[in-house]
Amino acid sequence: MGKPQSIVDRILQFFSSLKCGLILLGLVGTTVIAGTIILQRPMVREGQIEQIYAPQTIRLLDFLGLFDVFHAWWFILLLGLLGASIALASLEHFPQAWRYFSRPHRVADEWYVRNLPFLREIPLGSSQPQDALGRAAQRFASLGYRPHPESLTKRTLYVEKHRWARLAPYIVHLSLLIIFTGAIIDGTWGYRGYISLGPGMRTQQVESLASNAPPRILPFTLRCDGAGMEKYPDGSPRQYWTRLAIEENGREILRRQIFVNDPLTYGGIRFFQASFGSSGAPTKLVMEASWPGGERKPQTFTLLPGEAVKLGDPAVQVELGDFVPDFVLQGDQLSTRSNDPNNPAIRLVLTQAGGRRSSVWFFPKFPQMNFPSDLGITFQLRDVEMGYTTGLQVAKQPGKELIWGGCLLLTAGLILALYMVHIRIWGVV
Amino acid sequence: MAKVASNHADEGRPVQSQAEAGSSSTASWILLAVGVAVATVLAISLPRLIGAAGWETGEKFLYIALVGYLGASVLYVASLAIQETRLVAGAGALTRGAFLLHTAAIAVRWVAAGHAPLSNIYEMVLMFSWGVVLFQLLGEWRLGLRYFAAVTIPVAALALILMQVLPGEIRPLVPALQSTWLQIHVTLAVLSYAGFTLSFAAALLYFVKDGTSPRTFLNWTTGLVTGIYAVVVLTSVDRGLNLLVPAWDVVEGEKIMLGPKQALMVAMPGLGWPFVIVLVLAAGTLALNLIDIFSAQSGAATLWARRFFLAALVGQVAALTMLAVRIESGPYFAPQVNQSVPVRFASSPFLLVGVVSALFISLAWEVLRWKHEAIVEYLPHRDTLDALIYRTVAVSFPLLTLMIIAGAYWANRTWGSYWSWDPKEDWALITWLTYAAYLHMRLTRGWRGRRAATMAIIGFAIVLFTFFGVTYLLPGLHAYA
Repeated sequence: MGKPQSIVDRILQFFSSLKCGLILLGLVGTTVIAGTIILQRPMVREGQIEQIYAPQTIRLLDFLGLFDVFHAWWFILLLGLLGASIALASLEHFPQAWRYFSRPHRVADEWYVRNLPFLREIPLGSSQPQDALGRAAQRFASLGYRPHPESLTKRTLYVEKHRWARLAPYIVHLSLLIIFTGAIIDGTWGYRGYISLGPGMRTQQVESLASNAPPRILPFTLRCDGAGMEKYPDGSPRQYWTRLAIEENGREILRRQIFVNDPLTYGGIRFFQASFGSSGAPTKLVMEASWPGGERKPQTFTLLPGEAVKLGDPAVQVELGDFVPDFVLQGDQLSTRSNDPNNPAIRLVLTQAGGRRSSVWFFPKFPQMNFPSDLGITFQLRDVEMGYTTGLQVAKQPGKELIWGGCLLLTAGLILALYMVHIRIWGVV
Repeated sequence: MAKVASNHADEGRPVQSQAEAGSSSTASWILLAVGVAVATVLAISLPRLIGAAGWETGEKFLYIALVGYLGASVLYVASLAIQETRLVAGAGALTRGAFLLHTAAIAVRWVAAGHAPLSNIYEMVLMFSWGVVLFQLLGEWRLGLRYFAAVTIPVAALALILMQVLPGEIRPLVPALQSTWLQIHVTLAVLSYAGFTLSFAAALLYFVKDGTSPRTFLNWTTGLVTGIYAVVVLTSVDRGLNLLVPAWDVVEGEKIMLGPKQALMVAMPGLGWPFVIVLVLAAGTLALNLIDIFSAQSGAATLWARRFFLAALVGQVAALTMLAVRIESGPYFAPQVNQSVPVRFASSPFLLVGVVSALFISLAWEVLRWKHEAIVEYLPHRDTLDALIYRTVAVSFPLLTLMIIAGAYWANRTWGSYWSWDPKEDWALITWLTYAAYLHMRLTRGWRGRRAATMAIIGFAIVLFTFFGVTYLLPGLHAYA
């Protein structure tokens, strides 16, 4: 000692100390706790934070980055420092452990043995040293501890077990670093995104989950051949599925049905069944038309989007103009709350024989708002079948293998560290 | 040398045999009392147990198992104080019987649901308590860890009390939960939590063995009781000393909600005051005990601390009894909707468990005070207990690690991401970091004894928060459990 240490040495020494490691562990822990107590922007719906916290609190927490701690630069930095600390601590202590592992002290003299913490003298019942050593070696071997041959030639005895346990803490730390590396690779070169598809649709484009990132273009085309859900008898969802096909250069490569928990992997990109629901556009409407004054019997007819139906005599052509599945009136604007046909607003276009066109809105849930059309016909909705879309999560995780490899190594290392102790016994006769 | 020893033995023998005779008759009384109590409770519950409903979901099996565990808890705690083989034998028989019923409850539920009972908080508590008793029985059989049962069996009993009021109907699995990984992940979770319960038991007994005086334990006991009753009073007692509990929709079997996170509260008139009184008495005991410890004149406040504690104990029994009698005999008036609505224990499971836990802790302290020296003498050496903390953590920590890995793997199969910083994940990580710190301190810094035991107790508190606190206070992706 006594050598003046450079500032770099001292910083490195601090980072490799257990104290620094534990401080960093504590800081990460505290941040994580804060992240579970304070609402996190990515996890809440818009406006929820403004509803719950006072404006000053919001400004303060936003300034500190506490509304999205898990993506804050300083949290990533903290994780990086923790990784560095683990790496440095392991590097500092590793050479010593490696010496124990690679060049065990096999030949001990009497002085060395006398200074060991656990010492026992065992009479071997032989005056010949070589004979006594042979007996001892045999006894150890029968207990499952095979003496090292080199030690026996020097009239000493050395047995050991579980030498690997010396390396266990480094295996654990290395595996954590491997997992970190995998996560960094995923974060840098991987992505997560979202695709929404209706039956028969094709796409190459993956919408980003981050709000203003540009979409990704897949090197192949994804085609949806259908999607659906199965229900339990009580109506709750049992399973969602989508039939997908991959096309390259207009040629179909493969077809597969995916389920929740059972994704499709192609070209390193995985497609997960994430959601399923109404597309907001109807595929079929069943309606009833009534004429004023009961001059005709009401007529039930089926209306398909984009196809006209002829009604009555003289014939009137009816077409679907607009369909708002779940309307709300904001001022004089119609907008929809959801894609489910909970409260539809329907605009029909009527064309008379002479080519005169007119249109009429009607609201099946609010019959009092329905006005007869120019021709006096009123409409009622009997049934509607909605189109559907399936929502797919898309993930590219190039660090996946490293992460799972690290996890396996972590488990093995932990078991080695907790259940194996390097046992060494030296003997002299 | 030999002479001295024999003299000593001669002197000791009559005293000891007297003590043995005394403890033997006490043991008989305790056995008799527990036997009669168990039989009485079962007899009273017979009308409730008759009928087909409730057997196939396991609820009725669990009810009988709970009675068994409660009886066994009393016997195990008593057996720490009075080393009588009959007490231990009785406790063991009750535990094994209750464990069989507990196992039967899991089996029938599994068959009825068609999937392993691992899909919601009720089923997790079911498996957790089963894991605790399983580990206890294994530890008793292989390692002779009988004395742990004085902590673990009461924990299992508390879990079963909680299950009496948690919604236990069988629901079909939502798509995301239909995976073998659910079973792996949840099994590992409950096993590691159960293992940490044993570490907690070892740490608690370490403090007893290590010469922590009953007076110091009284601080902790009354501190916890004060804490529990303070939470009850602050959250559920209004200015008119009415107890506010969530209204219960008897038909739907759930709380009546006025809005998201806002339950309809019902005021049970006048039921607030027993809680306020217990709070005052417990806080008073704590204050008097602290004065007693830190005042120059030792023993000045001992008598008053004792009186306050006994009064608080009586108050707790009274509060629990009044709550139990009145909560199910509604309906009560709810000012928000201007009409009377029914109330059930099921609407406030943690009120019940908190009050019962406080009572358990207080009674356990009574036993400790009564036979402190005998208990200390009976427990194994400090180093043995310290090693047991380490060994139970060494089993549970890899299970916890594998649980997190299995969860990440499953999440990646379902949602395409390993880790979403969801509150349950975060708290599992915090639990993992805590025990990782324990292992580092013990293995590299050589932490032994009280510091290590304190970490094991803090670790268990975090486990409990991860298990229940996150589920009820910080919901996220793990909404189902």
